[in-house]
Amino acid sequence: MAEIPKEISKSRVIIVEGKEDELFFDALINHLSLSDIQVLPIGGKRELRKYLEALIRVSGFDKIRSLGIARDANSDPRAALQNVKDALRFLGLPVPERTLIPFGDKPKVVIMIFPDENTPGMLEDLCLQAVMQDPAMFCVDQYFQCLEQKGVTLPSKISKAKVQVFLGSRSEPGKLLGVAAQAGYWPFNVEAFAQVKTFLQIISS
Amino acid sequence: MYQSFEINNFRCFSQLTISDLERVNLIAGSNNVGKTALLEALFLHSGAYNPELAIKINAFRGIERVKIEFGTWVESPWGLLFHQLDISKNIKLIGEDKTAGRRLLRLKIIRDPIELAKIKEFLPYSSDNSREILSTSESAQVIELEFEEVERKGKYYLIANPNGIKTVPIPPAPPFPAFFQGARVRMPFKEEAERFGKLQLQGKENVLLKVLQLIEPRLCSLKVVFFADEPIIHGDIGLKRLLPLPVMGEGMVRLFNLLLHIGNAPDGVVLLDEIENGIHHSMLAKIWGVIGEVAREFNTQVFATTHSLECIIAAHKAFQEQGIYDFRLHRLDRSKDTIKVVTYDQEALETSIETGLEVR
Repeated sequence: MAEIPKEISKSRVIIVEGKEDELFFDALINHLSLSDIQVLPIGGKRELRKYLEALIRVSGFDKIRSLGIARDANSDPRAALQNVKDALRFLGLPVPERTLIPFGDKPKVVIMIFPDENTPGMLEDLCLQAVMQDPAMFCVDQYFQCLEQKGVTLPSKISKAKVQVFLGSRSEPGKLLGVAAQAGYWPFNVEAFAQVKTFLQIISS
Repeated sequence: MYQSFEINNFRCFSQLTISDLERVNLIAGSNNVGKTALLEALFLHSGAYNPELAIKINAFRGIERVKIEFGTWVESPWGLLFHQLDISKNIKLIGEDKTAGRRLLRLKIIRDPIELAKIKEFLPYSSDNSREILSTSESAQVIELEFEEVERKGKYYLIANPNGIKTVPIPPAPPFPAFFQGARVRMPFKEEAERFGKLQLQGKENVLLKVLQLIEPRLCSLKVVFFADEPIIHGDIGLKRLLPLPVMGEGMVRLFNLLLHIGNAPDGVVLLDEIENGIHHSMLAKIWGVIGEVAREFNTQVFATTHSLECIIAAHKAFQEQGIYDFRLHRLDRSKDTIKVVTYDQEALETSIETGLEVR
């Protein structure tokens, strides 16, 4: 059955890259007992600008009080931030200068870059930082070292692969990052998630 | 072809401007947000010089008759046309047309005795009027239509008095044809046959046949047959006898009417309320494709309303596949007391559909 089209149902909206990011944020929002925040995934490799052009047309967009945009830094965190700023400017929306510093009104806009605005990487890196002390991580690292020693070419996005291996060590293996968040496999109370919690609190305030 | 259209003080609209109009325009929006009113305003404006259309548009909503009472204190029969029933403000409709330029239409109700005196030559209280005047306060109900075009302007009056309703002076034909197909009102048989005849005269009936075959592939010809004094379109689907078109289903009749309108409105405008009525969702993309083709062939501009997401998606896909994306989706949104338009171009609609964002 086709999905029911998404309406803007809350006064605070966060735009994320994909389905797993959506599930991750929903789990964290639930963990923090925040309400009135809607998470919308862009999906696929779609450009943020194009998505925003569609989103601003959805009935009720003018009633949004806070708009958060979260995306991966990938190889260049500065370029990632600039990409978000360019898209906001193109649409005539408020443009924050830096991450986690809200700007504007109607809506207030906040940007979050994973793992942070100075470090290349993605949400997976944040999750791996969060479980650094978990005994399974020693084995995960050893596994990849072993692969390297055996001359196996490692995946280009190593943190994605590490997350998969780590989640393979849990009681119900096979979950992806977002579903794992919903299952409570990422410890939300550790320092690694401090910035993303700040991001949500700014959105919520 | 309209490029933009502005409405002031008409029905539910205090002020509304709709821009980026294309050859085919689909109007969405929730109930009671003014989709039909927008079509009515376009119909009035297309009529250009004829204030009688102000009465006709009520028929599109099933109000076939207007009760007209006379007297300075009675309600105006045209009050429902005015925003919040406020007849002290004029209705103003402004269309920007690619070829004809800008045309403004102003409708106002004249009740002031001084203004009525100015047009007394048109008020037909002639000496042979045998109707007994029953009240000293009886007066005519008058609506004034004033138009301003690039090179000319003028006024026409619709006058209702105890002798009847008439328009003075006699208005000229509008600059282009316009047809309105209501959501639940079907074209009378005679009109249907006449319009079909006009297409036959131009040798264009095969366009109709080709399209109707999308719904009924067995259909090989269309003929006008008199049945109980009514000229009824019949189709040949290879049975022992011809079948009346209405027997072939509501969708066939709707589609046939729609194509007759487009085919009979070269260089004009066709207004379709609730276009998806009676049409199965699996046919919608094909039908939109055909609407696009026929509208281009006859240089007709189409405005249609819908509540259906399937209809919107089908239209987007059909125009995308044709490679000529002369289509726009416009949604009317109510925010407190105002209504605004949100327009989707190809890219915005494509992204909305792909990401599952609501567009209706």
